[in-house]
Amino acid sequence: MTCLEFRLRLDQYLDQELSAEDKHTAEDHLESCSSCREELASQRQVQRLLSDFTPPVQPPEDYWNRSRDRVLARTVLSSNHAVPEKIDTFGGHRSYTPLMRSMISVAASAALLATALVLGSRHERPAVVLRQGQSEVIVSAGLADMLETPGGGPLTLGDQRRIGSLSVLVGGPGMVGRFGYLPGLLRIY
Amino acid sequence: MSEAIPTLVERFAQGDDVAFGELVARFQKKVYFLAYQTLGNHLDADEVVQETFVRIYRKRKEFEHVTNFTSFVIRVASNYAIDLLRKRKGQATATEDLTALPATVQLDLSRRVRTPGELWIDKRVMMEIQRALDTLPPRQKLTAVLHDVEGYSKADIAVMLDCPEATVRSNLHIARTKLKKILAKRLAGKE
Repeated sequence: MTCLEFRLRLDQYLDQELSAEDKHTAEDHLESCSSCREELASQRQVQRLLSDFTPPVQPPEDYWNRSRDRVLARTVLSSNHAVPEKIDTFGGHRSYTPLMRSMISVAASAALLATALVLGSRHERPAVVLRQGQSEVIVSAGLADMLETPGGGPLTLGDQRRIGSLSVLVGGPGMVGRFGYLPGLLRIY
Repeated sequence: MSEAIPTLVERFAQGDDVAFGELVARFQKKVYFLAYQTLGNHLDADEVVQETFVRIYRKRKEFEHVTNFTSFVIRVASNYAIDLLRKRKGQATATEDLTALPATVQLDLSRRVRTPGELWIDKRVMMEIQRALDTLPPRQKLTAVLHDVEGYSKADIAVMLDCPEATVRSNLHIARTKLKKILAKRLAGKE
């Protein structure tokens, strides 16, 4: 085997894809060629670096729950309420009247207040699902274990769906998003 | 005992949203790290995670015919990551500055950098690898990440990236050659 032939098979050799016969021939060549041995060693080093490579930055553990919640807010919850995929509050493809903008502001403030109530009361008393008239304030899955459902059990994704279209969805801690408004529905996504 | 992936996929295809939530929980880390290794920053990686699962949700009816969910997820994530990479081309590098990270993240790093192998790779070396990967064109980069970092076979990668296996081999060879050159100085310093 020549150096050129070895170099052409180097990837297969590294990935252990050569037949037994070809591998034997390659190793014969390596024994007699220091240049190809060096090339093999440096390619192996690169491979080892890559196989040990983990991103230099790791997200905090609670990121995963929040990430899943945001996906569910944009998929499961949106489709159950027949909400368009993305809604910008003040912009995007919808035009809002000044009155509507005011209503959105009020509704957004109410949702933020409700979030503060939920978060602020979690250490003071048993958490409950807050109610606001015909609507209900519910929380994302990340906060579900802090609350009780009307039936007494933990709040699940299924409960969120069952609560229905007249609901306000409040994001969990760190769940930063924009407010979107539809009649009867305010959500954070 | 947790349910097997094929069972969850079947339930998801039949409209079970709880199964979808479970699939997101199980696959989001895989998507995030692939995206991070490809794009080099948290915000883009997060965007890939979100868009990947939103797209998968919209395609739920197709899942009755999907035999390998992992490949499908990686394929959707790869396509979106490639789009983002192209969009980012020409913009300043998005690789994060480690010195600006909160202390908790730094601590987390110190746990992750100890690998069971004989190499001690510090976070600076990881930054070098990330920077070296960032110099590769999108498909070469993804191929190198999927094969040499994530450990997928060339046949799997061909399915994930929707290209012939010969293209995977070729891209991998070119990527490795470039990475070796870029990292040569670092390697020499470590030996």
